[in-house]
Amino acid sequence: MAETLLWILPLVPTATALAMLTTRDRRILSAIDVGSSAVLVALTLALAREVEAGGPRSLGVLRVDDLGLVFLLLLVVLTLAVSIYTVGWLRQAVAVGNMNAGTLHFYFALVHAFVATMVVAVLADNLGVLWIAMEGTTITSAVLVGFHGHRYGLEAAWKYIIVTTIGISFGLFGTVLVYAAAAAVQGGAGAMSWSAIMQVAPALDPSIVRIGFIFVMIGYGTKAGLAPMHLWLPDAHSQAPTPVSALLSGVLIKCALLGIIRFQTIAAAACGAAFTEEVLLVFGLISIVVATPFILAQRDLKRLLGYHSVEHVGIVALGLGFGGTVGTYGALLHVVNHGITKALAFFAAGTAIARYGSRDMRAIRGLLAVAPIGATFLMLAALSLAGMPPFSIFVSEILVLRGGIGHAHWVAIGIFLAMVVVIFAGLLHHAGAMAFGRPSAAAGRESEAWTPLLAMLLLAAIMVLLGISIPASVDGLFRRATEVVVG
Amino acid sequence: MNAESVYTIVDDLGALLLFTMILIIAAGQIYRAIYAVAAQSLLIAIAGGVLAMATGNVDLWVIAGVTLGVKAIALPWVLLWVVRRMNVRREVEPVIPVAATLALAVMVVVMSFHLSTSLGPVRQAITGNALPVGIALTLLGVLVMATRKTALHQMVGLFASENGIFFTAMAVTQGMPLIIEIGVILDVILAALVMAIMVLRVRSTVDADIASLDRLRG
Repeated sequence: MAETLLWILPLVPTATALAMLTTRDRRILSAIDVGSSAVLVALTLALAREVEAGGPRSLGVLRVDDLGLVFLLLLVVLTLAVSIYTVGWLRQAVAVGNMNAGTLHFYFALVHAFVATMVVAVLADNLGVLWIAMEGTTITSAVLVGFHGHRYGLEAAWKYIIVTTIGISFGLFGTVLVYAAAAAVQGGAGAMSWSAIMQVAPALDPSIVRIGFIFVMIGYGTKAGLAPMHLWLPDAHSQAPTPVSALLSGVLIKCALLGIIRFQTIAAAACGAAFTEEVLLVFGLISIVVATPFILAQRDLKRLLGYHSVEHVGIVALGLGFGGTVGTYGALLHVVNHGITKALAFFAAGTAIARYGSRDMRAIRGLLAVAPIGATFLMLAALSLAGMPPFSIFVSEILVLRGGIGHAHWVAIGIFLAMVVVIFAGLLHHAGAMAFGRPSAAAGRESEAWTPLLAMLLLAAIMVLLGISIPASVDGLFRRATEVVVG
Repeated sequence: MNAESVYTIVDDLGALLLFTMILIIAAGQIYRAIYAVAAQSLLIAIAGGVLAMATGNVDLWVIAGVTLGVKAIALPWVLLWVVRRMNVRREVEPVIPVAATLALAVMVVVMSFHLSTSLGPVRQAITGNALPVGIALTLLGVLVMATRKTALHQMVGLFASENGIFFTAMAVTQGMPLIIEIGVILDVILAALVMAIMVLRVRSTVDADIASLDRLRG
């Protein structure tokens, strides 16, 4: 049963992508979109149940364990939310001419092809398949980033495809080195399978794995948006259509993090955990520090959220770098919390931008007066992103911090706290200025569309729930996933 | 073929690969760089054939054949087609002068050899000087992408970088599993097609080279 689900899961979005090409009616396309995403969620929940009962399952080059399941659940939930959001967003975008009604079927087909490549990346056991799927995500999403077709969109798409393809070449080089080390120990046959490598990991040659891990860290780190390889991220996030921005920030960069974690476990077993922790710690701190000034000085709302993703990916890397059970648990929880919250923020930002016809935050004023529900969601997302209790990001940041205190990384903790406080102030300043005040003349007065609000409600509910108390089944999943990483 | 002569041939091919890389970096006009990267892919295919003969590994024959067909013939042909479509007349100056780039390239090569000698014990599992050459090609491809402003030059750099990885994979482990290599090549083809479409699209909408668009800052 679970083995069957493993190959059905990537097949669902693939088949959906092909089905999208058969019609051009916006309503039918949206219906297939939401339906397919709902099926994906149902299948994933069934798979989660099977794995909880019977442990990891594998089928050929695909494998699901608790670690992969955390990322898979985030992926399918966000895909569903994005599908619901797209219904109302698309109606508005077509009406004002932001999206061409004649090419919608390509848009939907690409989105589902993008989702399919991400599903394969999350389920891949073979490190080569992981790489192929990651490059596949670049190709499909690069077209989506430039889908609006204006010069800024194309510029962002070009930068994205070039920078991430360079980066991911390094990832392939690192994969080849780790494969060489594994093939020297156990022969060529299973030497690309992560689960097979993990069995012999302590026997691998440490010096070649060390170089391999650094290459992988740069490669998948580029895709994850870790500074200083993050150059593509603010452009791509700000120029892409809003639902695509949510997928990029919420899921794609997390898939790259999963790739890093897979190699981290191998490298930690081969050359000792101290080495991988140091590398992750350095990249995490650089990301947090580099993102801060850009967040403070930003005027473009979607770029602000993009730089914010750099900061939060840095926090995840920091949690993994602090290591131990607490730090790793916090990092994994932060992956989910940030994914949910950031998608919510992009949704709320996208509707506000459509209403004012500008991404410049100085033009968006008095949102609360013209769109009270959307403005509330925007404020909730901003408060959560800034790290306010009782929202979920507060919990995972505290856990990451506790992981650091447990291992006495005082300097890193000091830098982390200072930056978080600065960003807290900057973000609340930006959000407050947009929500309150007198609405400008440019603000649209039409009533709020309900499907985007429904999608936001779904994400906000998860965000608050995970902040107040983590349900026992979810907690169990995270604990088992942490064990996969820490061993 | 005995192991000794295979080492010699792979070393010689490595030297030729580095030479084609220098040609790519020094090329003023884009079609020269495209011919150089095609020659480089041809050398990779020959290296694959030599290793296949020496080891009797049938997969390597397939990989060599696909490399020849796709990277030495099909992709350069696509690039030349785009060049003709775009009707490139003026040459855009690189970010830094070619002479300076060549000096940097020499440093990268020296560094790559230094890096792989520091690997000590690992080198015994590796054929001749293939690892430093592979690292050097990968990094030099990235150097080309970073120092050239035109989209086609950047694509050539990308292919050179991928060539470096393929060479390393062949020489270090007699190639990755066949299915993976095919998947990687498929990705490279798709990426090249998407890039070519973007280049032409920008040319037709704003009449500029895509890589010289620089409005997104900060």
